[in-house]
Amino acid sequence: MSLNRIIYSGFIGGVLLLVTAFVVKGQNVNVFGCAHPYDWQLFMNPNAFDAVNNQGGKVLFIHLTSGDDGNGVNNKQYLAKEEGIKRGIRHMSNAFGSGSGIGSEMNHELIVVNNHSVDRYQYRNAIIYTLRLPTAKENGEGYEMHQFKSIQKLFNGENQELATIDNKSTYNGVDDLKTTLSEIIARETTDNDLLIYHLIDDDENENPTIHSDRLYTTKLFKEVAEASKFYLLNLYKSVSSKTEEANVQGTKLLNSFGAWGATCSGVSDSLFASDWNPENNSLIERQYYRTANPKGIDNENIALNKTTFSSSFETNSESKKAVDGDINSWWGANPHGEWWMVDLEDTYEVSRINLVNYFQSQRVYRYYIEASLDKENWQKIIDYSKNENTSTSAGATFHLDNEKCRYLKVTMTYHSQNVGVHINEFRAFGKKVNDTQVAISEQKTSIQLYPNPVKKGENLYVIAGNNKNSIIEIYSLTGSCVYQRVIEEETPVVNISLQTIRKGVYIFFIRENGRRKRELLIIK
Amino acid sequence: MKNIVLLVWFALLVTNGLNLKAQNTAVYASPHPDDWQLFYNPNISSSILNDKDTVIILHTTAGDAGAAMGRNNYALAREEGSLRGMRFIVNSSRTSEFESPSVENITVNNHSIRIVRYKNAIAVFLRLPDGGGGGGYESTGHQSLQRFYRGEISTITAVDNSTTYSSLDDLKTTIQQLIVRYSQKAKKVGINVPDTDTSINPGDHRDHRHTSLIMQELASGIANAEVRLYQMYVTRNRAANLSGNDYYINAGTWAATTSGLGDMFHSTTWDNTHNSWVDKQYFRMKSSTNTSKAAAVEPVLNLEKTKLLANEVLNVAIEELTDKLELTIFTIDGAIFYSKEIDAQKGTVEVEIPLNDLKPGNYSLIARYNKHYFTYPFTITQ
Repeated sequence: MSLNRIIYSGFIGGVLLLVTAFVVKGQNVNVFGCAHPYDWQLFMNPNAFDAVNNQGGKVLFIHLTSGDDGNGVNNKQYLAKEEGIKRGIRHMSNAFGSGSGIGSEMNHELIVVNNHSVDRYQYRNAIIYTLRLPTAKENGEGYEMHQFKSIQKLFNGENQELATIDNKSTYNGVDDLKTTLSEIIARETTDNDLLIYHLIDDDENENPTIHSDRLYTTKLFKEVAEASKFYLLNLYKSVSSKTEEANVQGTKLLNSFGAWGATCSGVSDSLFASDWNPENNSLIERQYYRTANPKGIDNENIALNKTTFSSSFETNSESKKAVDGDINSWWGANPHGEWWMVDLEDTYEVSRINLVNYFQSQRVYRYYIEASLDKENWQKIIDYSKNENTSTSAGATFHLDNEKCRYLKVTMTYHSQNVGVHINEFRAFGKKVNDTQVAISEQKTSIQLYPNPVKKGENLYVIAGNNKNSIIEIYSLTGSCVYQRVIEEETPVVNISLQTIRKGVYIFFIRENGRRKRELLIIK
Repeated sequence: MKNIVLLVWFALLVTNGLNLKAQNTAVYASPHPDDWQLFYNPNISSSILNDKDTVIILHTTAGDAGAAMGRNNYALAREEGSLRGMRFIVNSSRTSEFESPSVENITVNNHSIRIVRYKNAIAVFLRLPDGGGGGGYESTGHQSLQRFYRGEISTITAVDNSTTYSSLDDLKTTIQQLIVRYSQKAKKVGINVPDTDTSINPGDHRDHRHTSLIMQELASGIANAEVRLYQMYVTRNRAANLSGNDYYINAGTWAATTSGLGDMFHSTTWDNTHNSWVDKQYFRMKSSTNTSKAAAVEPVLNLEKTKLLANEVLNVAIEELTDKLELTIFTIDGAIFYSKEIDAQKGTVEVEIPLNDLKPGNYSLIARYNKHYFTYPFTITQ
């Protein structure tokens, strides 16, 4: 094999690396941080239902207190409420065409997290944690049964420790509890997941008369959330929502009542009063929340209901089904190699793509995604052609380097079960780029750098297509030009020596015919 | 002293008179284990909670869809769903005195019958075979209430083989004795059944219709019986008429019911087909007059054939229409199989309805015309 051939083969692999260089996989994880066993049913639905049933992805329900109302374990009220939680979640999971139920067993484990034993239950994509801390009164005063201790007092340092009502564990200080929550989150997620926290709003101007347990549960979770790379906070009104207009209707209202009805059924079948009463029922008709986005995460699905195209489609599986917001409908075509495309109808800097393939029956799909500003020049931005993972309702999420584009095209290359290919939902997130920005910005197209990152002192190889008379420039982030070279003849692979350039992050430019293309270059 | 005793007695009488609402018995005849929740609620909740009636939920068939007691305990899962719904209603306003229901097999008219009692509610399970499209299922010997009612079969046996009814009168007598057993002190016995007037309740399931016919006939032998007739599948096409607490209790009862099915490894049926009935309840008293049929102008509509094979096409010829015509066919589960609107027009309209995937059984093409329902029966055979 000639040297040229070896270098070129290296570049084939290099192309793949470059394509995926700025792509990081993750998933959306919804985290419902609840002080009491009924908080998600009364204040955070229908969002909880949508998270379990429609969005796909893992959903965590973390309940800090047992809702024991000062009874401890004596009358087993806490177990009745836990059955209510579990029945409500099973009901949501089993709704709408999930096929035969998977029964009432919820894969229960007593796990040890940060040296504390915690009950964990799993039912499909829903995971329940019950910490069984004692419930306090509205004002944060604990019950006599628990030596008047409470989450509020632990948070404020008035209590140095707080034991669970079943005495299986004792939290020594607020940091111990916080660390445990952090470790629960870490156990269930990866660094690249987008965590969507659902918490009671702790701003008393937005949500007056907040129960102490709820207030301090939110404060704890907010501090835990800060450690996440990608997160959003959905902050809900609690009982203060009852003064607002009813705003949940139709199917969403029925689903909220379904979860609440199943919860109450579980509690009363365990021989305790269920709290099904007019006051609580009126809360089901209301869901008020605001979204905080401390890290500026793009959170609007810019592909939703946008114009779509495909190379072909199967009956009742048109291309628009992939952007209809329903993960139970899909675009379908065959055979492998068929493509699907969305027109975002404007130019966006896309920071994240989530793609859900058909997720029943253990299927593996492979594909690659290209981006374009004009529907003619395409750049491969995601290569998933070596995927071995089974598809799930969470889909695959890819974080991008603000890819500027208007069109996104998915070419399906493989499906493990048959020749058909399917996209249940394609979601994209990003910021719209205004026209002026588009005009003055550098076009990012198909420069391929290998390796990137590159070690200081090693050579950098560049593939840039038709590059005769083009100019290569490398700029530091402070704007200094550290390298410049004119390519006088067409050269398939340009070899650049980086001996004199320091370690760091640079912008690599190539200018041709008055147009400039860019790529991020890391020298390490 | 005597006066004081009399006064106390009178006070007790008045007090009890105010509280003793449980003088009535309400019978809700549920052809399948999920019918009472979807079509008789919130009336049934009101009977249990407000009127404090003794409420009998009489499940005539097991709703087993031919599974009998098999297919992963499907019939038992449906019973658990019904019982969860019943307990949910009873418990919904209760703050204490929770207890486990009592379960027993009682003998009535020499037939063994499963009874589950919880407070003032009694669930009765006759466990007769689900009749499907009217002809029954092969797996349960093609037994059905329709065939039993029409005399096409001489006996009908419960799917758990607990008993066999040797004649229609035997079944009627058994149900009648059962009702009398639990309503001896009742001033009034409410009988709640599907409406059998097809101009009001068209396209209904054959088990619904024949449960109702049987109940209406035996009601005449029960003193102070009062019959309420309910619209069933067809309420899907009607406006929602429940809100507030009536809607809440319906939704909660239905959720409790469906959770029972899911917890026993079966599809919950919390789906668009079933959920569309939750915000509706339409009924009338049997003695009340119906909308005048004399005023109804029936469309001139002819079916080319009324007996078809599976996968054949139902050809319908409709002559001049002076008003909009709505055509509907329900599946035996109440889902909409076919729906079409035809505007007023001169000349004949020909409609072809492919019957692919429609199971063998008795069906109706329902026509809504000039605000009246008309039904045109047809049968699909294997």
